Amino acid sequence: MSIRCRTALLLWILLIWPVVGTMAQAPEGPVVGNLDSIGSDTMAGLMLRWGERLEERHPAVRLQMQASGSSTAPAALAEGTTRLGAMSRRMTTSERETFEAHHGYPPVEIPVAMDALAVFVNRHNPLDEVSMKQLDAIFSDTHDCGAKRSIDRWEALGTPDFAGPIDRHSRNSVSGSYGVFRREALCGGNFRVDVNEHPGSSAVVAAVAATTGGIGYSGIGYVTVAVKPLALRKGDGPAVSPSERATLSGEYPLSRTLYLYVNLPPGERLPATEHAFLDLVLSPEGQDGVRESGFIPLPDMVIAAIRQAMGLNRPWGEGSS
Amino acid sequence: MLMADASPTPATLHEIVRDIPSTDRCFEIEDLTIAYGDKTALSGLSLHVPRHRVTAFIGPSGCGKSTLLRAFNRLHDLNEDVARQGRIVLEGQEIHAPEVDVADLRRRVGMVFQTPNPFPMSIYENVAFGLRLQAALPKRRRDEVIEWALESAALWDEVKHRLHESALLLSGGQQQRLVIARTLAVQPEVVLLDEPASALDPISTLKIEELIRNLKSHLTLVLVTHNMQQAARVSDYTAFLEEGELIEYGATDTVFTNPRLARTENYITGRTD
Amino acid sequence: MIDRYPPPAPVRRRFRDLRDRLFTLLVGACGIGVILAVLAIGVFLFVEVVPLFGGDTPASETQATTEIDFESLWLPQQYPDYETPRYRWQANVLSEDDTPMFSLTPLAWGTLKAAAYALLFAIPLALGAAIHSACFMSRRLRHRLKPALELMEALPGVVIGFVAGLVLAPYVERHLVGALALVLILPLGLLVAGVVHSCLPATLARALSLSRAGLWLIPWLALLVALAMVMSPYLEVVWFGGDMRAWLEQQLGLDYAMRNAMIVGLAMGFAIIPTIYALAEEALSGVPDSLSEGAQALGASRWQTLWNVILPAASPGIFSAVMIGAGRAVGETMIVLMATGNTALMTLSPLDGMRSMAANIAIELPEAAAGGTHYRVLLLCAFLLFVFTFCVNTLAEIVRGRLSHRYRRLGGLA
Repeated sequence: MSIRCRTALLLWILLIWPVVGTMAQAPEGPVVGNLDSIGSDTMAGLMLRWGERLEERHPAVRLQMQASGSSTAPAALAEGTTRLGAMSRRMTTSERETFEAHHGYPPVEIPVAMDALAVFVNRHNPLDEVSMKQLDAIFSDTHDCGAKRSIDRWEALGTPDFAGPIDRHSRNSVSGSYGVFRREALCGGNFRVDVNEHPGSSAVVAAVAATTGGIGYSGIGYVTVAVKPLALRKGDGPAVSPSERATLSGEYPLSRTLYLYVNLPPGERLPATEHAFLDLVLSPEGQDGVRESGFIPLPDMVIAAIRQAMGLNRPWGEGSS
Repeated sequence: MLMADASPTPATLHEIVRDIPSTDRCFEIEDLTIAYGDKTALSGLSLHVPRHRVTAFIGPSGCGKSTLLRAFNRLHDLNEDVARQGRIVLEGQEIHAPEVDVADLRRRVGMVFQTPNPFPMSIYENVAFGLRLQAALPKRRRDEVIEWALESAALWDEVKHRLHESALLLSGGQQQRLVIARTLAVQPEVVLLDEPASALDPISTLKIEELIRNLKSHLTLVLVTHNMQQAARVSDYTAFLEEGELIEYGATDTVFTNPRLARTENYITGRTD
Repeated sequence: MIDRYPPPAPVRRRFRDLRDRLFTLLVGACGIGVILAVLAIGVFLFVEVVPLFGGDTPASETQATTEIDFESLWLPQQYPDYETPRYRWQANVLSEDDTPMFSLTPLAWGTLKAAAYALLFAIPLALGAAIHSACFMSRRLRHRLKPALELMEALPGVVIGFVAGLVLAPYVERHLVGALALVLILPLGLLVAGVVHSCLPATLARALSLSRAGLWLIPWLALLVALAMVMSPYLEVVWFGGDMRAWLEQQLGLDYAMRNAMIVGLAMGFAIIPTIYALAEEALSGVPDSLSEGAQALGASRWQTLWNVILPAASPGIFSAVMIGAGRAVGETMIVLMATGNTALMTLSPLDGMRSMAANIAIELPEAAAGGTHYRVLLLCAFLLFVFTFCVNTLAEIVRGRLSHRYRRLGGLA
């Protein structure tokens, strides 16, 4: 064959092959494909763990994740960049409305775990507990929770031997933890201008560990021995430590639910990869992963209810959700 | 008056050179050897440069005349690859002695280069450059010195109305005279000229030669040139170098009309074989 | 004499012409393509930003509509939760009643502050290095220096920012006295080294020649730094009563943030030193040798030659080097993001943090809904950065153009 013929044949093969290849993928085959997720940094480790378990179950599935912060999920879901979003706070009304404006139906909200937002100080700090109003006074400059003045030094919190200025550390505004903290601890008020913002939860922990006068917050799963979580006191109540029991019961003031949001048109069934993923997440194996990551598994009854509602108890392919 | 001798041996050369009375010697070079890395530029060279005369160094390319010239004001110090042996004595003082201030030496021994190199400043500032390095003169005195320097360099009439224009706007010949004025402003004892007119047109060349003739009344001048006729016109003494060695040295008239060695005669008349 | 060979046939000549023309067109198209790409970025940003000021409601009706005009972006605003008007950047919106605060002033301030501190650190070091390597250093050492500086340039900004934020910042905080004392100790130590060097006997002076000063000064400088750091705790006790941070707060009213402008200055300065060095060194080496020889022949010392002849001759190139470095400093994102706490403060103190426009875009753009006000304000920041860098670089190029024009007359070069 002449060179020309050979080149033409090669081009033909290159063009046709992908088309034939995609046609060969039958929708009813084994679960295969990429699962994209965008969202929470707090849940990053947990999502990775789930992704690994998912690959063990279905070797042809891979989880691809972007975890800059919960606020990146609604934007990505609305634009269609992803079908799965992880958030460590609930979507706001306006975020929901943006999604609806783009797709015509609301996103599906699935609670997957519980978490305590721990407030911690450097391990050399003798302080053990702090009140919610004091937190407001420390972190906010609008004092919407009713604090009278800002608290700038440790002595003002009753630690005469440990004196010095307070160094505040926080997540940045894309973070769900930031949103939860702002809503619950600052009562919707604004952070002070001089609160250091960090791009990830472990960065906050590292910063507080490095500064003697530091205070910061992040999911309890990121707390290391270099920092000390404080017990929180709401109003006149007792000081509650971020334990599993206190979080589940709601006694701990900064407990929160972790969510997965799915773009699922009503009446349609979950795609195979999402079905496999959620099946794993809401299973004993998945909830074990939750505990390993330092979060708190949902109560069994709650899981059972969600599984029923999502149609996860039937094998994929049968009927609708 | 140098005497001709039939058999030129090194001993005889020394005698010829020694005939300049020591009180009239400006520079005395003894056994100078300069090498750049492996390449020897000058080997075992000895000569004397008389005061208030024009001495010319001639020779083929690569014979070492520029190297020798630059040794007079220690310009080789700027180059780290240079190895030097031998003595150079200026007015009785060895120039490489540790107590010698190099900057002062270079003020006393000025240099004009082959390509005119005025600074990218005004004409006034170019001539004032050297002055400002030395002492802070009051403005009127400084202006006087600058005018004198430019007049001595035969440039004053051409530039006196545009002293504050950029020196780079002058023609090649004017730039070279400006460089000479700049050198004269610091009142040196010796002026070294490294092929000063080779980049210039014939008229500028003649002007420079006239300048050289006028300056020798109060300065010692050492000239390196390719141009034999120029050496013959302008200099009092001529040294002929070849491959780093001094071949012949004597009064210009003698060297050009009655050279002792055949090599000298071949070079001067332009014979290549 | 060999026989003449026949000239190329007309066909071959035409083919050669065609190839020539084709190649010229191709190269021209690539060049124009690059220009068009840059223009396209500018046009895209401009188009996205215009609706902000057009008075239209943003694409997503659910976004809270805030009044965006020149005043609301740049002048202090009266926000509902505060008593006095102020500059605030708070784009995060929790609920419908929450109003976002879009004031670009603290961001612009932070950008310029970071760039200023970076230049403050980088210019003396880069220009000093350029002057030394172009005028004094031995050629062999200079050839080894250039690859080392190129290595500096190859370091990604993320790595520099990471090291600055997580390693350098805590260390400097612990040894604050030593770090600040270095500002005095290093120049004084160098002066001492210079004095000692001039008093050395001739043989030693030749071994430790100035052209190799870049090498033998290193142990001396390392010793000075180590000394300052080791002495830091003792000096802190003696001068500041054991706690410099407390002293700063009480005596000067200055708050010390661990990740502050000083750290950013060091880190970003480190990143732009190679840029400034390369251009300044090129400008200095471009000064013809005949100029410096002429000055030295008049009896000028090395310093006098440098100061009076070489630096003025190279000044346009050096100026343009600094401007290009400044343009880079303004646009550098990751270093500021990681080496500061991204606090939108507006102070001059080197001990306070800052929030730069570029870092702000990197943090917030993923969460901004496309087409909304927040998104467009962030693109406005990008547009401002684009225009600023474009202007600075154009100015630098104009200045450089004048330089080569001026040197063409000197006959030696360019």
